[in-house]
Amino acid sequence: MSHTPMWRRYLRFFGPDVEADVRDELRFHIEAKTRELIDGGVSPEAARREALRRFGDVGEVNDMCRTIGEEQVRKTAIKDRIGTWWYDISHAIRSLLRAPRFALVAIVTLAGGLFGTASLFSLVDAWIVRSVRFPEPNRLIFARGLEVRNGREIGVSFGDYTDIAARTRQLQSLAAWTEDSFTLSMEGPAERVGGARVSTNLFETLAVQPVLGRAFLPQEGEYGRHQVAIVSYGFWKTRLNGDSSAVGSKLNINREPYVIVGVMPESFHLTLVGRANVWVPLAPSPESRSQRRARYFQMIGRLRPGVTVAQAREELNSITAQLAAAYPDTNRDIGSVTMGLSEEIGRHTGQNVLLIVFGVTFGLLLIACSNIASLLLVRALARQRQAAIQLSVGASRGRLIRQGLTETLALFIVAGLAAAAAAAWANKVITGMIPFENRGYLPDYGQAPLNWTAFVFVLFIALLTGVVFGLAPAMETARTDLVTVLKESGSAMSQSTKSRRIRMTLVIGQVFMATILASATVVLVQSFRKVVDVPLGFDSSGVLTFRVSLDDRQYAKPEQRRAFFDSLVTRLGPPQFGNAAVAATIPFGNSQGESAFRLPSADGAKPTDVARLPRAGFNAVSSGYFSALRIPLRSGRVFAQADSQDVLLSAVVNEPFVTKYLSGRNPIGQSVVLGRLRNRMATIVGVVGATRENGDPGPANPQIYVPFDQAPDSDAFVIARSSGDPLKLVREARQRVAAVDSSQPLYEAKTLDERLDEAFVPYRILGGLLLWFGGLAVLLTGVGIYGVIAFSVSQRTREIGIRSALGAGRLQLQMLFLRQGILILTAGLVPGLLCGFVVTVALRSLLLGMVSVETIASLVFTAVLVTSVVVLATLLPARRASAVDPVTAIRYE
Amino acid sequence: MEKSSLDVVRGTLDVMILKTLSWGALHGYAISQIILRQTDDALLIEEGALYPALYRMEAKGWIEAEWGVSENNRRAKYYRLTPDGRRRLREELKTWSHYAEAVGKVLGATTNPIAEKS
Repeated sequence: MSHTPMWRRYLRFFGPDVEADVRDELRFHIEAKTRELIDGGVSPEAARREALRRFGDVGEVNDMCRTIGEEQVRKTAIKDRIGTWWYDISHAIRSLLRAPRFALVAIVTLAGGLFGTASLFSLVDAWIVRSVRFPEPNRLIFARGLEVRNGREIGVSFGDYTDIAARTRQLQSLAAWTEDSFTLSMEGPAERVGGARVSTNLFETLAVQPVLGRAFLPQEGEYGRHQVAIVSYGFWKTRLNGDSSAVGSKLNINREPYVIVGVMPESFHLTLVGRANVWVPLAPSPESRSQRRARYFQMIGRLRPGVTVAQAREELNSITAQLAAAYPDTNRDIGSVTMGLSEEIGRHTGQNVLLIVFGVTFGLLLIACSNIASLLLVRALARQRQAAIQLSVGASRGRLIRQGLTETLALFIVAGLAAAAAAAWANKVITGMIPFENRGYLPDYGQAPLNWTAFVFVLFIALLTGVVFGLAPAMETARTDLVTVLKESGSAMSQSTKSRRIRMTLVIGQVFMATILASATVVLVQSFRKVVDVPLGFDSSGVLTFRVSLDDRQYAKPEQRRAFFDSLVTRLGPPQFGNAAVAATIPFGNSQGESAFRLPSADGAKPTDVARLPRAGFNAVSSGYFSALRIPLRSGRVFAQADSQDVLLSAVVNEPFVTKYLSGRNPIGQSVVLGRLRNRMATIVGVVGATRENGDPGPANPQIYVPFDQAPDSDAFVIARSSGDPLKLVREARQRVAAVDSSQPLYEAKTLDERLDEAFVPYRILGGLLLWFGGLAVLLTGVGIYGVIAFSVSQRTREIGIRSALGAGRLQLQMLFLRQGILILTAGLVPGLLCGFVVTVALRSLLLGMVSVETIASLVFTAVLVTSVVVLATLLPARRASAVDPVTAIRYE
Repeated sequence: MEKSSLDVVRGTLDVMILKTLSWGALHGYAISQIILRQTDDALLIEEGALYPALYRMEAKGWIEAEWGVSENNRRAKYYRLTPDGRRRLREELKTWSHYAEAVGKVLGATTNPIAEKS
C-alpha cells in the first residue's frame, strides 16, 4: 500500500501531476515519522496517531501546497510557450542568417514584388480610379448639349443652364462648370494650373464638403463677388505647405487677387470635371448671364431620390425642346445628352490604359508570388533531411510546421517592412519627380499616398502563397518514411532522383512563367508607349490658341462672320504673330467635327441612304491653317484666297482618307459630296499629312478640310504661331480681338502644348511608370531564377567536391551546371514562348487591335532576355561552387 | 500575541530551511527533523507547516525539487538550493544577525539605559 507504483513515474512524461506529488510527499513524511516512532518503541497505532498530531492539519497543508504548486505549473507552461516561440524565432533568424544569399534573394524578391504592386496600384488608384468617388454616385448625371442635325455633342450656354436648372423637377440640383487654366502668381515664377469655373452649387451637387474652410456661397456666383477660390488637397499640401492659415489667404489668379476659402478633401479627385486644382465661382457679367451663343459649359446634376437617369434624360430633352421653341434663332436643333456616372466614366477613362496598368500590376504580383513560392519550396525541400532528423528525435509534426511557419513569417515581416518603407518613399519620389507645370493637370496635384488597404491585401496574398508553398514540403516530410529520407540524404550523391526531379520541375516552371510574364510585360509596355507616342502630325510648339464665339444676332450672315475672322487673322500678324489662322476645330480642342460624305466617282453618283454613308472628320480652316500648324502637304495644294469664292468648293483631305477611300487613284480632282454642307460637291485640291486630333490611341482618322470662308461658324478657334512665349501674347490677342469688335469675348486661351499636356500628362507619367515597373518585373524574375538556381547549385556543393576530387576541372564543373541551365532553359523557354505568343497576340488584339512583326520582335527580345538571365543566374553560382576547396565541399551539408 | 509569534516563525522558517539546505539536498522529512533537533522542538510547532513554505520558495525559484530515492529505498522528493536561493540566504543571514544583534543589545542590557541617558 505504501509503495508508489512504478507506472506513476511515467505519468510524469505527460506533464506534472501536482495533486499526486503533494499527496505522495506528505504521505512519505507521515510514514517516515511513524517508522521513527515505532523504532523508538511506540506501538504502531499510537505512533501513527502521534505522527499525524505532530504534523498538524494534513488536509489544510495538502490544499495549500496544491494551490501553490498548480499556480507554479501554470506559470511554467506559459514561460515554456514563450520560450519555444522565442526559440522558433531565433532559430528562424539563425537559419536565415546561415543562408544569407537565400534570405537576401527572398527578401528582395518579396519586398520588390510587394512594393511594386502596392505602389503601382496606389498611383493608379489615386489618379484614375479614385477620381470618381462621390457619395451616392448613382444619383449623379452628366448633361451637355447636342447638335441634333449632326449628332455632335456641344456644351450648353449659361442662359440655357439657368433655364434648365430653374425648370427641372427630377433633379435635386444642377451645377455647371467649365474647364479653365489659371496663371497663378505666387512666390517664384508664375505657374499654370488646371482649374475650373464652377457654379456655386457644384460641391453641394456632388455632396462633397471642403475639409478646411467652406464651399462657395450662392452670392459668390454674382459678378464682382466672385474673387474666392477653393483649392485641391494636394495643391494645399504641396504649394501652401499644408498650412491651415492658407484659408483666408490671398492667391493671385490671372493677376487678380482671390481669397482662398476652402480646401477640398484628399479623396476629392474631380477628373470627370476637369483635372482641376483650383476652383473659382462661375460668375458671368450681368449682360452675359442670359446669352445662349457661347456653349462651353457642362452640367452635373443630382437626381432626386428614386428618379432614374432615363427619367432625367426625358425631362432634359423636353426642357431643351421648350427652349428650342422659345429661342429659335439660337436654340433651333439643339438637344441634350444625359448620362449616368458609370457611362460617363466609360467615356473618359481610357479603358485600355486601365487594362494595361492593372495587367502590369497583376503581372508583378504574379511574379512576386511565383518567386516566393519556388524559393520557399526549394528551401523546404533542402531542409527535408533536417526535418526528418528532428522528427526522429521526437519533435512533433505541429512543432515542425510551426518552425517552418515562423521562418516564413520572419521573412515576410522583414520584407513587408522593407516594402512598406520603399513604397511610401517611392510614391513620394515619383510624385516629386513630376514637374510642377505638369502637376497642375493631375488630380490632387499629383499627390498619391500609399494605399495601405492595397498594401495589406497584397501582403496577404503573398503570405498565403508563402504559407502554402513553404509548408507543403514540411507536411510532406511529416508524412513520409523517415528512414528513407535520412538514408537518401546521407548517401554520397546529395539528392535522390525524386527530389531532384521536383526541383528541376520547379525551376523549369519558373522559367516558363517568367517567359510568359516577360513577353506580356514587353507587350504591355510597348503598347502603352504606342498610346502616348503616336506622332502628332503637326508642330505644337509656340502656338497660341483661343476661341471666339460671335453673337449670332449681330453676326447673323456668313459674310459678317467671314469678315470678322478675316480681319482678326489679318491683325494677328508680324512682328508678334506669324502664321495666324482660324478653324472650326483644332487638334486637342475637345470639339471634333464630323460629316457624312459620298464619292460620286466611286459609286457612280447614285444617291445613297444617308445613314449608310461613310463619315470622316470635318474641319473648316482658313488658308494659313496648315502652315501655322506645320501640317505637311503631300500633294496638290492647300487653300488659297481664291477658294473663298462661293461658286467652287475645294477640299483638302488627309492621307488616311486617300488610303481608305481613294486608294489607287489620283486624289487630286476627285469630287466629294459633303453632307455637312447640305450635300454640296467639293473638288479635292490637295492631300496633307495625318494629324492626331485627340488623345485616343490608334491610327489617325480620315479627315476632310474645307475653306473656312465656305462654312464660317460663329464659334471658332483662332491659332497663331509666335516666336516667344505664346502666353505673353494673350493680352495682345485680346486687344486685337477688341480692335475688331470689343463686344466679342475671347476664351480658352491656351498654348497648343498646354492642350497636349492636358490630354497626355497622366498617360505620359503612367507610361513612364509602367516602363519602370515593367523593368522591375523583369528584374524580379531574374532575381527569382538566380535565387532558385543558386540555391540548387549550393545544394550540390558536395557533389561538386567529389567530382573535383576525382579530377574534374573548373571548366568541366561549370559545364555541369551550364548543361543543367540549358536543359532548364529549353524545357521552360520553349513552351513559355508558345504560351507567351498566345498571350501576346491576345493582348495585342485587345489593346492595339493588330498583330504585327513587333509581336515576333517582342518574343525574340523576351527569349534573349530570359536566356541571358538564366545563363547569368547559372554561371554566377557555378563559378562560385567550382572555386570551392574539394575537402570543404565534401564535408558541406 | 499568537499571530505575531506565527509571523516570526514563518519568516525564520524560510531562513532555517535555506540554511538547512545549504548543507546539501534533503527531503522534506529530513529538513523538518533537522530543524526540530536543532531548535529543541521550539520553533516548528507543527511539522506540516514546513511544506507550504517549501512550495512557496520553490515557486520563487530559491529552491528546486526532484524526486529521488530515500535512505531506506523509498521514493522521496529532494530539495536543493538554487543560486538564487543561496544569494537569498546570504542576505537573510545578514539581516538576521543585524536584527539579532540589535535585539540582543536591548534585551541583554545590564545597566539601566534610562539612567545613563539622564
